[in-house]
Amino acid sequence: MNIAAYVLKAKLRRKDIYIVSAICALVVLLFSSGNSSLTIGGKSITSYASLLPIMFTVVLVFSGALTVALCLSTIPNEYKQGTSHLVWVRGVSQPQYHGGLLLGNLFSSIAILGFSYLGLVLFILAKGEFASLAQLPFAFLVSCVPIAFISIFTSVISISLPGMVGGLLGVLALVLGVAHPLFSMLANVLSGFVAQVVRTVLKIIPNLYALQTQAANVVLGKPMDAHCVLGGIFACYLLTHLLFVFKKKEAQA
Amino acid sequence: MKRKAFVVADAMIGVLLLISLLATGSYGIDADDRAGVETALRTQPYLDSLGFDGFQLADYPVAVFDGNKEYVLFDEKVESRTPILGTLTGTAYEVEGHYEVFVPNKKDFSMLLAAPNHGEPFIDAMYAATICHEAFHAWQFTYFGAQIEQMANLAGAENPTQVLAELDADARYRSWFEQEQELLLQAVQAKDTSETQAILQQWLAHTETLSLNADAQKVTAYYELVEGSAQYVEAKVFMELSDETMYNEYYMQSVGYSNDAAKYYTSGMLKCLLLDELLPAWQTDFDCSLGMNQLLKTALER
Repeated sequence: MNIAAYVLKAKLRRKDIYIVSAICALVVLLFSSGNSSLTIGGKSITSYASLLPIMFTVVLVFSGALTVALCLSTIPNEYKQGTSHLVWVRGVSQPQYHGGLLLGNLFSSIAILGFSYLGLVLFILAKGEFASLAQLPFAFLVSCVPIAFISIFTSVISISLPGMVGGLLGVLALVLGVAHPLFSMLANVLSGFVAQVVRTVLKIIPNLYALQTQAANVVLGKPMDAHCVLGGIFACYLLTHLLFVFKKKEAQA
Repeated sequence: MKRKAFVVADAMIGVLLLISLLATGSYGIDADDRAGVETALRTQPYLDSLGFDGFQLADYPVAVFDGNKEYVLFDEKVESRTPILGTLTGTAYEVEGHYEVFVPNKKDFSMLLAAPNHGEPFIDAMYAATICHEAFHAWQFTYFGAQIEQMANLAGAENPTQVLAELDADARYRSWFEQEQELLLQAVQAKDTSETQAILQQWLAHTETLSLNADAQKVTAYYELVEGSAQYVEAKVFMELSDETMYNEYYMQSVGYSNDAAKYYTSGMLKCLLLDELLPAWQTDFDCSLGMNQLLKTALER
């Protein structure tokens, strides 16, 4: 837990997370000022109920991208700076050490999500939907699941893979997760080997878009798909076990 | 000891999560897909009122592809099977000597239509209308396969895709077709039958100004007849299940030129709507033996 607290403190000292969170809030706020009468199928797409799930997706994309950037270097930097040796001498095992660092990354990612949620708070206030604010903490808990997945995924792969490759895979997981329905539809349109590969990848990466939609549903008072949320949590659970699989060669334990 | 406790706790969490996941999962056909097919089936009284002789939706199994399996709904039963086409498509396809309706699952259908923001009522109506469209093809090919073959004789034509590409590359044809569409749309939106007839006289004169080669005639006639009439059924069902605003936005504002066969769906549909005006109950004798132009010219001469 000490290692996790140390990572969290180090991450929160970085200014870039506040800048990106502010940009995220700004983007979300831009949508709240729309007075357009644009309709599709007779339904206004500038209505609160139509826009809110989109805003949740915007928050997921921003905080997900920040999560990849922050989590990618935590474990490799420990080895680069030689900090790991200070831990080995205390008899801490490698999965335990990496687990602490991963937990620190996870807390940092959730903190980033919290900052990004400020944009949603402002959006809801701008739309005058004050009753929604009471549901926001519950929605936040649901939103933690997709962010936790990205955080754990990036942390785990950073143990074994070079930074650039790990970063690319982290971003790929985020893109595939957010655009899951689109890729799923494409896999169904395609046939043969490529379709099979895409389907397999989509089975590994949870539908982050659906997860974030559940968070929006909480705020909108719509029913939440528990299976979808449990699927995300189960994916996180399985991913953490890769801590016992991926190991650094230089470490002793 | 500590390690053992960790392993046990970890395993318990995993098992609990897995049980919860399995307990909350839905198995078999998606409830939304099933509801979509049932909505289509409930339009039968309306389809009866259109008057196509013997067109019964319930005669044709509906196969819904969800990416892994195909669920076949027929006779109030649902059976799963290995996908026959294995791809997202809306079509009528012959399976073991009878025609079945193939449609994507509703989620993918919505994505394909780029319609997630159109709202549920739009998607519900469009899904049911599409099932009716494809079922109409099943009816056409079940009862009038020979007439369609004789009328359009596509088998004797050059590759239809090639013929369409040649037409699309012809600027003169494009301009002619756009003018035809404009006249048809004006006729559909005319305030009364006499105005419709007057505009259609212009259309008649317009049709004389272009002569297509034999292959182009076959291909365009085929699409206008087979797809245009199915599009007409689809549009009518959509209108019945939604409202005029959505109907106009989707079907009437899409009138125009596109570099594929889709434009003939629309022109054929407009001709069917004009038949409604000029020749009530034209559907009773509809047997795919005459092209849409012939049907419309005959109606105009009466």
